[in-house]
Amino acid sequence: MSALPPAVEISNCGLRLGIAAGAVVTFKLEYFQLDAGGEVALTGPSGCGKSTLLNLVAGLRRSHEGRICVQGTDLKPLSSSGLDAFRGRTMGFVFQSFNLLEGFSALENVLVGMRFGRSCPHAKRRARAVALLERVGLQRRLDSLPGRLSVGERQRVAIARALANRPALLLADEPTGALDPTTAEAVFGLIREVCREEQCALILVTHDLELAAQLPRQFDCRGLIHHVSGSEVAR
Amino acid sequence: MSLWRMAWRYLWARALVTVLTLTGIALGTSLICSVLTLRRESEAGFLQESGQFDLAVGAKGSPLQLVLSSIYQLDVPTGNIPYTRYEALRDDKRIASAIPLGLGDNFQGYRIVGTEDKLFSLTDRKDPQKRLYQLAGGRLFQTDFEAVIGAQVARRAGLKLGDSFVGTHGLVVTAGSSEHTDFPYKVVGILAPNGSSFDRAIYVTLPSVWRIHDKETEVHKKLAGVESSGGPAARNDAEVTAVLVRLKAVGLRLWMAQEIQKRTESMAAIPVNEMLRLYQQVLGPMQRVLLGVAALVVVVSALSITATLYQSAERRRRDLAVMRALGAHPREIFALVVLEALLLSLLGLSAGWLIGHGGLALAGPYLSDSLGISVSFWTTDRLEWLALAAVAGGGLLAGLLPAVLAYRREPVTDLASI
Repeated sequence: MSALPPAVEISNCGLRLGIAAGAVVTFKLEYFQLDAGGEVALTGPSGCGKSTLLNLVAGLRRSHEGRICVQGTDLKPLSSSGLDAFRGRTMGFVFQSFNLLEGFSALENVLVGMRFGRSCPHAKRRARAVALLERVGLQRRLDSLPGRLSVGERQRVAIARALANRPALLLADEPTGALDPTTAEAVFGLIREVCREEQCALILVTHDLELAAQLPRQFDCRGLIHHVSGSEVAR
Repeated sequence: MSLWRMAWRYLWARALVTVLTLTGIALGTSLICSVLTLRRESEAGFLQESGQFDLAVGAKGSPLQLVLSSIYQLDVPTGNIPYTRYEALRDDKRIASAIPLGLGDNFQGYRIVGTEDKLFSLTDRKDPQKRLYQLAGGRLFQTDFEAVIGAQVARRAGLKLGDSFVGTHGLVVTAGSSEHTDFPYKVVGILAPNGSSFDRAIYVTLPSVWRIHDKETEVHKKLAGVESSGGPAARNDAEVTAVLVRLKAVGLRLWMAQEIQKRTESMAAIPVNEMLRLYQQVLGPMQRVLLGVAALVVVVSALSITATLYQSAERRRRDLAVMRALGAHPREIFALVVLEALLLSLLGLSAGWLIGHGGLALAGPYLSDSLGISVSFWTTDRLEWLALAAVAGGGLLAGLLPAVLAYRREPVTDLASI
């Protein structure tokens, strides 16, 4: 039986982010790996490059140099549409501010995710969406619009939506940042539980070191962002 | 979940703006539909009716006035011509049929037309198997003071077979007009409605009209001390108001009209030409103005679609970015915004079509009574389909700009602020 490829493998990745105060801002990462089904917390202060790393892994940003592989697939050669499709079926997202579609019910939010992910046959989508929402404890809130859900419930919908396409990798950007401590604890636990059940690797971006410490691995993002002055660039 | 359903959800989520935008499109569309339908139906009705006769012969004056008064029961006649002129036309070998008309009285505003029963044996020129005027009940007049009434007259005046009525002097209802109480008419036949001016007229024998007016003349002569000249049949000074002519060859129209114009004291008008001229000179420009206004309303509506969708796409930058993160291709984002525009246009178009045609259907009895037009209100012809397609195309175009902007937007920009 062949071993599963790493969920994420990054080597010699470089990206120019722009110019700030006369210096060129770049992102550099020599090596990063997350095994299939593994869990890692990206930590570090604001602006240290956590979200940039997450966006690179998601293919929302393209690296200028180096190699980023997700589940064994190199993202660089993928066309824009190929990358969209790959992202949809391989990755799930959970955001700090939930980002549910406001005009759509909890069930429809999950169905929209499945529609774009395309990994589940059309006939089975509804059953899968209902099952996931039941799994996150929202069996009585299927038809509720986001505006009528509590913040904890909204994040549960976001978790169900993120996992709807059976992704190999869940990218969670400060998923508990907007929640009170009790709800945050519950949501964090739920994310880990569901990821384990779905055999999904987890990259969690967080400022909360206590939360990060609960994961088996932490990756400190300090030092990923570099400011290169004009003279250095010229050299 | 289909893109159509998602587009519908987004429209529903901002119901007020959607309804206001739809109202604009619907109003513009309804205006276009009603103007085009009225134009088509009135033109068809007027021209079809005028096409039933090649010439209208009457006293010299305005040709349009002669056509309107003799065929459409509108306007006042240009005068009278001698009955012998009718006889000459009747006996002309080039003429297939000549129908004399004698006007002078009305009943509740409906004109009493003295004529001959051969009017009712005319066949429709478009469908020679079909009679132009058919009886819905009763029979044709056989003697003087028997009347065959149009469908609208029967309905509006409440006249039934066997009922009697008396005419009033003049062609329109005016205060103080004298009623011919000595000569009551009896309804012996009612015409089936055919959407023409014949629905609004009462047909009697020519001598009925003459006898009433001879009596008046005699009274006037007695008052003036002049001796009576006898009954109309015994006289040579009987008159008719107009003669409607069908030629054996349509190509003779112009030639015959010129001949009558030059050689007699009467005038011949070609009804189709007069009605076309009326259309081109009077009704055409009015319709163009109305269509211009309607087009303007639609353009404004299209602009409001652009503004609505642009604002909506801007407000939904986060949603669209999330969709991209979930795997949506930029083409799907583009399609979603375009579908919203398409839905708005199609809903507006449908509502506008219903309002336009429904409004005309509601106004149908009024239009039929006042203009004598029987309109197929729910029919949509090729021109109208083209206009509707143009409106739909405009709506679609209006959605393109916001769709392209949404298509080109990089999701990472909007996700960064999440």
